Amino acid sequence: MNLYTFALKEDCRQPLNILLIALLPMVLLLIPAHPQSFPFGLNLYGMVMLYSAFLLTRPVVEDRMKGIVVRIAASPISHLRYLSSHLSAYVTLMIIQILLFCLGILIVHRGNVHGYGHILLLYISFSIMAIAFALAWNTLFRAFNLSFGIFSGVGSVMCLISGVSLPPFLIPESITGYTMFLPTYWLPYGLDAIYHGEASGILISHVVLWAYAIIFLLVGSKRRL
Amino acid sequence: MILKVEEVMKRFNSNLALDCFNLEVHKGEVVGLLGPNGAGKTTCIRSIIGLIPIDEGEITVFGLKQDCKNPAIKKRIGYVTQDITIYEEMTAEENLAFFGNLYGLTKDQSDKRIMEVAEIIGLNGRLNQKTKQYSGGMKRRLNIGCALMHEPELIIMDEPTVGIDPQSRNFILEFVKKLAAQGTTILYTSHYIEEVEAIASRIYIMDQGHTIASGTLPELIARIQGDSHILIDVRIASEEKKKALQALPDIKEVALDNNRYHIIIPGGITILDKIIPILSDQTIVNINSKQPNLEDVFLTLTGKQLRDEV
Repeated sequence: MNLYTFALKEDCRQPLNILLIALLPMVLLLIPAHPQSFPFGLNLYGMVMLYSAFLLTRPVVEDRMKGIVVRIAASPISHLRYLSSHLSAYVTLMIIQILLFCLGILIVHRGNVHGYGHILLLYISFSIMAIAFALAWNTLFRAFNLSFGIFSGVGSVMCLISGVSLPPFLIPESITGYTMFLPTYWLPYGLDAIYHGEASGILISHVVLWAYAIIFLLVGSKRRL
Repeated sequence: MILKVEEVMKRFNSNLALDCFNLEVHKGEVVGLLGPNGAGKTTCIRSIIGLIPIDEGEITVFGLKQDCKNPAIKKRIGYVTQDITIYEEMTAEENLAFFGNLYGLTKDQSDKRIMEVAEIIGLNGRLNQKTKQYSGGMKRRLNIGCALMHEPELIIMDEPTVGIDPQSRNFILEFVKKLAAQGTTILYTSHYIEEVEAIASRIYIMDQGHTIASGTLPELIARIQGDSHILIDVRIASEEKKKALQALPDIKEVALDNNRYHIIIPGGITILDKIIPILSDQTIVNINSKQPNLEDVFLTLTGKQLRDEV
């Protein structure tokens, strides 16, 4: 069993992960369509991705917490290989979730949604950023429960003010100028660009999400033992 | 020579963890590294394995310089961690297979080796059980087994008996002796003197990051051969009395262990007539004298009871 397969299995052992990956996103499909944008469930799915990514990266934190990472570091496996194998496994699980969700969109919102390919790619970019963000966030803590507790609050606020869990027109104008500095802002921005067919907007959202992902990966991969 | 550590310095900010530390391990030896908590044992081990870089000095393992970038060295070392570092949601077999895989074992090699290791650590028959259902001693044994999967030439054991029952401890010590009899080279760290006495062919005593003595057990004891060790039990011992005893001329070292004073005196017990008046108001319960052992060597060299630090 190589590290990648092991990381996949480790995550799939958690019933909560299966529930989050397969079922929770489907509930969002029930949110009705909006006349001037995509159904809001497509935005809200960003929050599910953020939390899914966080729960999926749990084994990396636990390996560090329990000292298993010390044992792995003592083996000939490099830290880069350890981390890349785990992250690839998490990305795989996220992509499965995204594919299931996009299939659901296709079935439930066939007439109200267009640009499926763009939506799929945007979700993939966002999920990679979310995994990198979770990795970087977890470097700040030694215990997963504490990390998750604080993240629940911070993540909710981030999703709320950046238009992921609250329609953008409800967000006070005084803060909209600052929310663009949040990585979560670029999902609703990208979805809006896809809805209006603005190629530059779609491209910008991808570039920013990847830039954030790279920064978070650099920060998150620094802590080893 | 399997391992040579020369004049190694390692700092963590302003804290000097290793201070001109030296160590040598020859093929087939069991070397005991003895020191109190915080002496630098784990830092020393992590430097040897290449988990942390050293600031000065040189470490050579299997004739190769340890620069933390050499997987060839790591491949030949088996590391038994101080904490139990196994996956509790997995079975023992899955754990052994996983750690074997990290060292490049193929499935066939791994399957064969799992049976051998299970036999060695006494867990055959329970391989398919999730390790979270194991007792502390069984987890410790599996923790050791995971380090044996790739048949390492050098096994480094970092306090492998911490927090387990006497039965499991004996099992581990017997098992270390068996490994040593087969010619495996072992570096064994502990703060349990009797463990090191029982298994090590050579002993290093370290404190505050440096080696304070090394040699075989008889060589170390010979260093304090002329000394006597007096044990005085009182009702309630105190630090003040310890200091008063320490101030007496001819007293080499005094340590306090609950209500027992350990006193090292050069050249016999003729000083008892000066000791007893000092302790007269503490109700002396018992006075004993004994032959020096490794504990006395440690006490004489460091001025500390090893157990006090635990």
